[in-house]
Amino acid sequence: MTSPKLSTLMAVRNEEQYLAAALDSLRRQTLTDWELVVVDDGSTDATADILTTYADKDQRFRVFYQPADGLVSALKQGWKHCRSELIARMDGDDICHPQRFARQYAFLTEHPDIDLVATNIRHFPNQQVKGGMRHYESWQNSLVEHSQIIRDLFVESPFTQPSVMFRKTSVESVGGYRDMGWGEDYDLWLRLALAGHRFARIAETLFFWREHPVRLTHQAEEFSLDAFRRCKAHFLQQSYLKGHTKVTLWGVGQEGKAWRKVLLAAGIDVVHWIDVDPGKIGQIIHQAPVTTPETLKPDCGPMLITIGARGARQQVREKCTELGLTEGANYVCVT
Amino acid sequence: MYQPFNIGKQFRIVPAGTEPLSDRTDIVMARGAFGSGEHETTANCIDIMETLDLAGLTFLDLGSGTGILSLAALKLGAKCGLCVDIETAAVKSARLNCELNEIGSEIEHRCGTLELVTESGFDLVLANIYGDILLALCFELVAKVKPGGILLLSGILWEYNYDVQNKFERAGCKVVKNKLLEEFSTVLLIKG
Repeated sequence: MTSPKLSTLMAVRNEEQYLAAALDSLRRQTLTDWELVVVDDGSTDATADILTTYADKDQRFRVFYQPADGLVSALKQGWKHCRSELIARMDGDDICHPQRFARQYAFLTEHPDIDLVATNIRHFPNQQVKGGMRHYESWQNSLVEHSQIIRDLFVESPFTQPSVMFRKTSVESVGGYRDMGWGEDYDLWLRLALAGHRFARIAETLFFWREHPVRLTHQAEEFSLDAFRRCKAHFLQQSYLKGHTKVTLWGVGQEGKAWRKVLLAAGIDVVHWIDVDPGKIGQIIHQAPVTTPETLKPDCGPMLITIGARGARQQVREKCTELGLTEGANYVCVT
Repeated sequence: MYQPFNIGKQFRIVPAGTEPLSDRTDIVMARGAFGSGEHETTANCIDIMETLDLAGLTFLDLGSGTGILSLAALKLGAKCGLCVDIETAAVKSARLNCELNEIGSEIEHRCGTLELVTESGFDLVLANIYGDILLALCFELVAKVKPGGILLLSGILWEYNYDVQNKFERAGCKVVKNKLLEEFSTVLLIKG
């Protein structure tokens, strides 16, 4: 049996409501030489019947079943059956633009130095999409070049997992999917980045991300804010904070305090706070002084930007530039 | 003033005062703005309408905008229609375009939402509005069409296409045509 141009990997559980729409969007792809490896992770609704119907009429749909064991387990199970070197991820509740596979396949073929390519995404349906999701969408879509993605890597997960296509050998070289108690996708992107793999985004909306109340992102503990902070701290310790036990945090708000707890658990002390609130400047919080940004110097040691307020990141970057601080060397934005 | 342009197999969109041609039916539009035929959904709706037998039909045009679909429907043989748009400016524009095409009592104009339409039993519903609105209005819209009547839905962004088809099928319609355009899509249905 010859390998198709690309394998599509999907894991589903109880996805009867949206699955047919997702599968139909694959059948509408202009690039037709693909296989779908879909793992049904113990569904109890009509998911299995829907998958059987599609597999019966189209041999590109390859369905595997396992007792309910979780997303990572299902992805690992499916991974073994992906026959192509290029793998597109997809979920059972989203929609692909018909050009998605063709564009991503062409991009990776033309750019052998790129290991993962995402696309612009758009949330739907409108009535379900809250302001925060639109903000996340717009931030994510703004990261096109590898350097932009790397700069913002610790802000949030820079890719919507089901919108990416990557090289199988690159992902296998960092250990593939694993369960660390936080989002398996973000964990994978951070490992790929740490190993020096390169990212890109096609700046066209080729993926439509369905928003609904039972989406895994809203329900699972792995996707909680605290899990994200733990994940970021884990990888910061292996990169920007490697060898450091002391750090400065810019932002004495709830977010900054939550970060302090996570860092403390990882053995890193917050020894200095930066804030612009006159009411906070001069205070000592958890044995660390709060001072103004003007007190910062390039030799102050590592600093994490932990301001939760939307729009503040850009202001901080501008201020840091004014103070002669370099992003990635003197500071890293983590919110 | 703008340059006349062709739309569909038999229409030409022209500014007032343009000399008619023998091979195309002119639709006079006050200006070549959005909704005058340049948008892919408008053009596709007219393409599909040209394939239908509209002779003597009554229609509802929801989200009528400039009124271009209603004007095309009348020129394709429809008897009379009701144009509804939530925008005052759109209703004003549709009225003006009707006058320019010497259409009078064949079209009634209302400013508002579907709630304003107490009538039902239309032979044809034209709705070139967003997919999420079509989903929200599905059952009310289907109720406006007589059994065997036609619904021509457009303005549906790609991501809503499947859901729109699915919901209108659940409301008792059958998909006759599903056309995926660059960014939007059009669905033609018959009410069972």
